[in-house]
Amino acid sequence: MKAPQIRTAIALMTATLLCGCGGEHFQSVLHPASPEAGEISRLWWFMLAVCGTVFVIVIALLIVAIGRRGNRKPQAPGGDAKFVLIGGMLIPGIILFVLLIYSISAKVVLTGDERNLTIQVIGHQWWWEVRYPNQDIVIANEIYIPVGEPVRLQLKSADVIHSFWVPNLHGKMDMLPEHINTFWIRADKPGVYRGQCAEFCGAQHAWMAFEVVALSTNDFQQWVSERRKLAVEQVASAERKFSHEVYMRVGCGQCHAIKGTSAVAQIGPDLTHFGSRRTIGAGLMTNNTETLTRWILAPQKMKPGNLMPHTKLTDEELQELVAYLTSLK
Amino acid sequence: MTTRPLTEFEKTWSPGVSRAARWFAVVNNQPLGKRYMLTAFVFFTIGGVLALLMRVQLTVPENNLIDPHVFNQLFTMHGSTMMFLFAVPFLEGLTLYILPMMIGSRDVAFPRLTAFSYWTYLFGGILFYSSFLFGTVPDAGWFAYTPLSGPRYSGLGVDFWLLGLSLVEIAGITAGVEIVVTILKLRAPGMTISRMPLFVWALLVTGVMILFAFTTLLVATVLLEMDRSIGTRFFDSAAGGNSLLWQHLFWFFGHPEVYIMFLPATGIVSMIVPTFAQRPIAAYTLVAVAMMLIGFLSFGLWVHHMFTTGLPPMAMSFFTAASLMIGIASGAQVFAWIGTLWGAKPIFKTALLFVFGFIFIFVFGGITGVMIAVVPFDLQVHDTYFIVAHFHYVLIGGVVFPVFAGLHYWLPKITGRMLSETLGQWSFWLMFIGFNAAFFPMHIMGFLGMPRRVYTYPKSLGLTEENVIATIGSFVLGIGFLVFAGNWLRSLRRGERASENPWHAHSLEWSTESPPPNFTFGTPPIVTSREPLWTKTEVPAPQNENVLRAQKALSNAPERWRATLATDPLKAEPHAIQYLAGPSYQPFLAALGFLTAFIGVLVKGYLVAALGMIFAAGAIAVWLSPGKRWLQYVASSPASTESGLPVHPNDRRSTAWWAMLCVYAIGITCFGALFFSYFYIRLFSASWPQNGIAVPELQLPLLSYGLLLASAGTFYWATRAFWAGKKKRTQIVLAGSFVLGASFIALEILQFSQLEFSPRTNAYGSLFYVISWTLDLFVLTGLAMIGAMQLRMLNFFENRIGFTGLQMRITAMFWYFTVIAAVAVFAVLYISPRLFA
Amino acid sequence: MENEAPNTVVSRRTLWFGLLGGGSAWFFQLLAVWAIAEFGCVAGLGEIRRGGLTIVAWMAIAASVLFFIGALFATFLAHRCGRNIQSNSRGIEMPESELFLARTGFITSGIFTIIILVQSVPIFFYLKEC
Repeated sequence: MKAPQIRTAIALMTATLLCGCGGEHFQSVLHPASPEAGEISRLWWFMLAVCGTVFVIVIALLIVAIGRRGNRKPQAPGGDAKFVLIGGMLIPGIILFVLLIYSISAKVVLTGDERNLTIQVIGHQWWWEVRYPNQDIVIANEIYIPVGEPVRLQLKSADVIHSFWVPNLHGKMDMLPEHINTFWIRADKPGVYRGQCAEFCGAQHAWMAFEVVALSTNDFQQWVSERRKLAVEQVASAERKFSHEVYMRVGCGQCHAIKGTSAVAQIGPDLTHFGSRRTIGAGLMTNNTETLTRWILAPQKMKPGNLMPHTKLTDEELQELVAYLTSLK
Repeated sequence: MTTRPLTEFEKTWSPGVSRAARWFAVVNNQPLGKRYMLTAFVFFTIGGVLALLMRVQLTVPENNLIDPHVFNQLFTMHGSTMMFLFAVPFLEGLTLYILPMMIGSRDVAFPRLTAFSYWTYLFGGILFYSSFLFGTVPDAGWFAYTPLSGPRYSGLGVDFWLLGLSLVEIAGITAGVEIVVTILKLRAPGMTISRMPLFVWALLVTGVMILFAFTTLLVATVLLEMDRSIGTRFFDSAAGGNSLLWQHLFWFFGHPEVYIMFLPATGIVSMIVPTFAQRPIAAYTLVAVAMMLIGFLSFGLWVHHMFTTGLPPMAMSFFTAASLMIGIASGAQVFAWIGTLWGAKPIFKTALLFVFGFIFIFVFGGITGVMIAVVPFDLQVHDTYFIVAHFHYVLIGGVVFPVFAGLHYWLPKITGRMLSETLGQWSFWLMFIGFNAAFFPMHIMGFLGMPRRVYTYPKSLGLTEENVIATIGSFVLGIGFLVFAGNWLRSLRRGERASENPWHAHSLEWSTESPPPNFTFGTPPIVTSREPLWTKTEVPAPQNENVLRAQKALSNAPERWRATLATDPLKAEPHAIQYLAGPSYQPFLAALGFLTAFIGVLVKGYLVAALGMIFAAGAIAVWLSPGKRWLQYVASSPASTESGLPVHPNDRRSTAWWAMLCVYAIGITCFGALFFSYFYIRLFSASWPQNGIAVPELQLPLLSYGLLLASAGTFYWATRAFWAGKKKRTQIVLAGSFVLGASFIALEILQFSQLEFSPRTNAYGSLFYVISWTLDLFVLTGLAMIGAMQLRMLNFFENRIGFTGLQMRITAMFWYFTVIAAVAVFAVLYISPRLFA
Repeated sequence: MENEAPNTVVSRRTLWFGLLGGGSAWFFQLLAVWAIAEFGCVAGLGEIRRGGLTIVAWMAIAASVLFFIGALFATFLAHRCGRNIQSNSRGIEMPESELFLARTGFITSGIFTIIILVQSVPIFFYLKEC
């Protein structure tokens, strides 16, 4: 392992620890890691307090109403009409008006400017294509962002409607086939935040997840330059020629591109940096040689209905392929 | 049971003579209402089983018991079944059964329409579920978002969904017309608008909402089915269409739909609470106002289902405001119930327990509903299990619990047997506890990152405990339902016989036998207060004579035809004697024709579809032309002279006149939805017409639409001649209208042949053709009506103050509407592209 | 229409307008401000300002004022109907159903008038941008 890669690895490990939630709550509305998610979470606690009080009062009134000793001519306190008008309409009206004002004035819309990073995220059935147009990096199912600054996401769908959702960072934004929805997110703490498609999009909607990896500004710069350098190195290396032949021969190249090689198809996720990918199958399982082997052999068993077909391989081909893919950092 | 021979009057009202007739020709509201409810309950059970299967799969994380394809089918069928095949139809069935009794009528306004509504509903449901036989079960969700439900990403299952649903929608719309007209026209004398039971108020608002909401859905489903079958491009973003258009149309129906289920449920509660509190409802006027508020507001909330689609924040905030205002209307109702119970020492029967359960759960669900109207919060919880929890609180708490309250309340009236209180209480507590255990944890699941509609979830989310509890709860809930079913079956055999009014209730349905006779009331009741069974006072002097005369004339009469009293919509003074049709096979045959046509579309056998439509049209034609025999019975009966009331009035005293207003509402919604689609797609298009298509030429349309406009003039002339009694002139001038209308159709066909684009070219082409076709359909229907009018005049011209006059009035109302619609269509299709180009 | 029952002092049309006018005004106000916000912002009208406010804001305000007046008018009509019925029915029995309709109309349209106001509040949070 080369020095810069080790640095990234260490950065990632600290990031995971710093998340402060030990693996759990990495996909939680109530554990915000950004000012916007924080504002929404405060809004929730405020509403819970107000509405919870209302609920308790209404139920208490109901119990009192039932339990009261009967009068000769029962009537609501203050007269029926007044009781309904004030208790049922006027007081709720005032509470709802306050909520309306809070709702409109809550600061949850984030924007940045031209200097901020732009990432294109394109939803596919059932994976995420992630492009850094200015950095010339294409990855999938994970989004690396610098900590503490707004990041512009250009969300779009390649097929049906999907929805982008990383609850620790912000609410949802749909990904439509018609047009690009621009959405800004930011993370205040380094860490890994899980996101998931939130609009039903077909058979494998459940396993269309991704991770947002927030790195400190330096680590992020490091990550970017590594990707760019590695992409060039990988192509140059002569020993890879044989592996790549296998890759093309068994059919991987018909769907998956590897930058700088003869594999240019754009149907499945781009595999240029596959070796550094954290998960396989859009959040289905962690990426290592064992899971990768299982995935290549039986993608339909691992993730039924996904668009990757079974591939017939000899053991040598399989080993060659796994070694090749994991080496693509 | 005594076995005395039936009187002539009883025979007239018997559901059918032969066994076949009792099955397929019955039009009485009671058997059809029962069938409606029973069918809905069968679907409810199936939907419940589907839900339990889903819960089993979700009990533990990363479960592989049910594969994702099947799971998607499960939740699609569960949602669609509960919304379309259970909740609305069940309430319609209950309404058909109870409503006439509650307002003192013998039947609903259009008995054959009841039958038609039931058959289309049943056929729709069967078509829907037949997808299981062919292994192509719908799997795009009950909301069927495009493009996932479009031709490219889904199979035949969605066609089953769309076509089955369209039949159910037709059933719903017809039931809507039925409910509105019955309430407005058939209330007992004296049941003025301020004395209507609140259940009737709720149904009136609901009926009107159905007309607007279901029509919008029908338009949307037809557009999507056309995208799938004949290749139009409404929702295809690659050809100028827009997938969000579907969401707008669907939710413009979908949100009112929630209240279409919820309002009758609150109506049920507003009947039960006063009964067990033994006092009138508190703040009657405000509750009626609240229902009207909900009726309106529900049409202004649809965008709050689309907060995450990237709309401008300003546009969304208006819908937050509107959504929050619903809280006022619901608050008024909840406080009215609490106010009614205040110090009233209510009697704790099962029905009331279910009402308490309802208030608890519904207030909870209402409060989470307020929360999700708040945009920022909704951005987080939208499409998560928080929403699943919320709407099950609102729908099970707000609809199913009141329905069970209503069943415990009204089943003794319907079956004539009391239910067991012990079993009733058991079923309540099982359902209440099971429900909360099943759905409360789902709020937490939503917060901790579990989206809706997932067949499984990763272990690392840490949601196993919540899901285990939810699954256990759902089974307890299911057992609660079973206990109820057992209670009901037990009561049929061993239940104590119910008296006329076992709860000492206040409304009219409790003044007739349990179960009621086929004709419901032998002598039409007269109402003098809001709680007719609690406060009986003398009929006020001025109306006295008229009302009593009408009552006497209809007392166990007329003998050979079915009739009930028609009254004024506001003051409920007797207006007319309403002729009600007897047993008929035509509704069944017409529904069968529709089913054939829809199956034809499904298998892309358009010849079969056309034959089905022709068959249905034939059945409807026979249905609508009254038999000579019945007209003679009416003419020879003394009812009209004895009561001094007409039988077939041709103005707003007629039920048909009010039904035409409903048709106007349906027509306006239909064109409104199409025009909305037209401008919505136009505003998101770079150029209009799209892809450099030229704006259609004006010359030919000017001529064709001009001729159609002229036909309205000739029609007016014809009606003048008709009322003046000039037969020859009427016939000739009316023929002129027919020729003008027919030449419009001919010129339309000529124009279509000259256009450079087809419905498949792009979304513009699709819109242009489909809007034109819709108008053509109206014109063709109008032409058929004019033709029928000509036939009627041949032999029955002299019956101008009777049926012939009514037919003329209805034909005129339809034709004028068509011509006005044509002017609007012309403005949209030919003028608007020339403006702001 | 023939056979229209001779009414008391108010026409049924006015009564129905009083009952349904407020709600209709509310519905069309919502449709109008929604269309203005949605399409105005997409078309870029949110960037052009006149007198410090965007064109979108001006249009939304104008639409709200218009429909507010409509709802207020319905409320007023319903109120007047109710008063006329009460003052004109001395001696003979009160036309209960008309009075009820006028009263419900007054409350319903009145509430919708307020709702239109509440619904216009968001405009003031988006005066300068969409």
